[in-house]
Amino acid sequence: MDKNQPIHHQTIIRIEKLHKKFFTGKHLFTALRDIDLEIKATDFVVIYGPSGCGKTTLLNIIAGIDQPTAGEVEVRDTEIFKLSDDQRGIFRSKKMGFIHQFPLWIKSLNTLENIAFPLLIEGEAEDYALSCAQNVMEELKIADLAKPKPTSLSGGEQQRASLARAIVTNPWIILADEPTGNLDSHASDLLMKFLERLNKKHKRTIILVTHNQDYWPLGTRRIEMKDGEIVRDTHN
Amino acid sequence: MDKKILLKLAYRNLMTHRLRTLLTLTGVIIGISAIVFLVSLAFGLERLVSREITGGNAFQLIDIGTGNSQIVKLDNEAIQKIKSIKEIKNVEPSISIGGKGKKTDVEIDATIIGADKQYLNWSGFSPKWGKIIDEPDKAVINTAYAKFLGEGDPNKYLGQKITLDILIPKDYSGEAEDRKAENQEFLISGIIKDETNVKIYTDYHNLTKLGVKNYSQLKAELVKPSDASYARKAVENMGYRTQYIGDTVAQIEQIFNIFKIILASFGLIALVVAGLGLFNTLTISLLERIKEVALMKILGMKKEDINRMFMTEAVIFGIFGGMAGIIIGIIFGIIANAILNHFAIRAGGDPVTIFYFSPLFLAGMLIFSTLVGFFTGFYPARRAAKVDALDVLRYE
Repeated sequence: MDKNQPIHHQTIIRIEKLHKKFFTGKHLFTALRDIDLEIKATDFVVIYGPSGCGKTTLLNIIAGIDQPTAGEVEVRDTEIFKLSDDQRGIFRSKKMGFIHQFPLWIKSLNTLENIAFPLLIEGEAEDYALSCAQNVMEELKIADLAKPKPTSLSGGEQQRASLARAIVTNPWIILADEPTGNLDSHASDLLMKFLERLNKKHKRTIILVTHNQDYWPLGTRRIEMKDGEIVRDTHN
Repeated sequence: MDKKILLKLAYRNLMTHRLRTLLTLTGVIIGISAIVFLVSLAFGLERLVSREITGGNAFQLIDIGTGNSQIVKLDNEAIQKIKSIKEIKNVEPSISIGGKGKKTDVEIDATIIGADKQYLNWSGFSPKWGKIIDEPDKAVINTAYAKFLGEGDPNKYLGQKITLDILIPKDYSGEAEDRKAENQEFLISGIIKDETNVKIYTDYHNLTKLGVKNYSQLKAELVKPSDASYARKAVENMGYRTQYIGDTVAQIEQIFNIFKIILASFGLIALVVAGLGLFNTLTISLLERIKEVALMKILGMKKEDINRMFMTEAVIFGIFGGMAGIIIGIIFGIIANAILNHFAIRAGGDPVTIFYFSPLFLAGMLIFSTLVGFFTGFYPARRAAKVDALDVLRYE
């Protein structure tokens, strides 16, 4: 990668000949077939397609949570599957943020502590981690939700808190898997606005998996998947 | 990940399910306190018995006798020879012969023991009433003889005269026949509490005056206890038999060690049950928090840190269960001791300490309890570290 290139020309994720197969019961299922993909640092990628087309599997492989059957995934010159599990975990913690459809929480911690948790994992001091989390919460206008347990928040509030946790480490890439799947339209719109701002203002790479066509125009690039293959890749 | 954060996280997790944590902790506390209570009882009894035997400066003394030997004799010459051993500081004799105590027209068989004040002090001899023999014409009787003299408070016999017929065996006098020294009179200076056989103690010079030349036993005072084996060897080389309290104490220790193991085993059963409860709690806790563990992995937490977090929880159970168990075991021991002493005093006995809480044992129990936590947490922690985040996400 040429680091002298302007940021919008820099490739942040390079995927080559990616295959993923796994067993569903006794049947070998091919989730991804021969995927080649390059994502630029300033891309807001929207991935869509029917259920079972491989969107989530692709997202999990980019995050290094799932392992490919074949192929390579490079994130900013780092071949992530050449790292050990722990190294990949640390890399993910520092460079990527993840938002799930149903946010997961550490129930014994309050919302602020949950948001600060990725920084604590990285070994940051507790005071510093909590102050960073507080800043992110203020930015996302959820500062008043710091004290309660996250499981006591509404779906929309939980997703915003989940976004706060995803960006607290100031990552390069934010991966969101159906983040609005469980939200009402108002909460969904709010979340999407934040993602759009992160991409446009803060120049973060966003990879969004969504069924909701209303949000497809937000992306700078749209990828349609079917049966484990990319069938359409459109730049807006 | 910072250890303080891991500790805080483990603590918070435990506090999330307070009742379950408390019940699991109670199990460990019961197990540890049962062991502390029972083994401290064994320690206390051992100390009680050992102290009973090793009264005074017993570890500095060796007992010397002739065994069944007809050749060697314990006489003044033997005392001088034994005194010449450099590890021995002093030697005192005692004579134990038969006799009869007399009261008007009634007689009673008695053991007459001749020994001086030093010998009696070494033997841990302590009259309950009056004082130890301090003048030649004085004698100390036991309560068994006091009963022969009459009923009531033994104290009233202090200063009274007693009359004894003393049998001087030929082995002791070196004469051709046994002889009886009749109507020997002494003043009672002290009474010891001993209801067994009738015994009368007097200065051994009173018996040597009657023709006793050989002694029944000698007590040799060592320069220091560590000299015991050298001194014993030197004395035994002269043909005498020796006994050292250290041997007896070692035998007592052996017996009590077995006793401790038996008692500890009872407590251990409770601890094993508690350990299984702890294992169960940790495993259930893992299953309940499997999504959290998956999340931690997705967020980048290392396997080692996840393992440590679960191990910390298990060890917290071990440490706090151990500390509380030790405290409760001690409290129960003190209460049991107080109750027993209450009944002992009401029955006319002396108060005793039958629970001894050895600091070394208690420290050992704390380490043991921590290890129980450590080993119980081992499997759930390993399982947690191996959780496949993706499987959890798929299930979700």
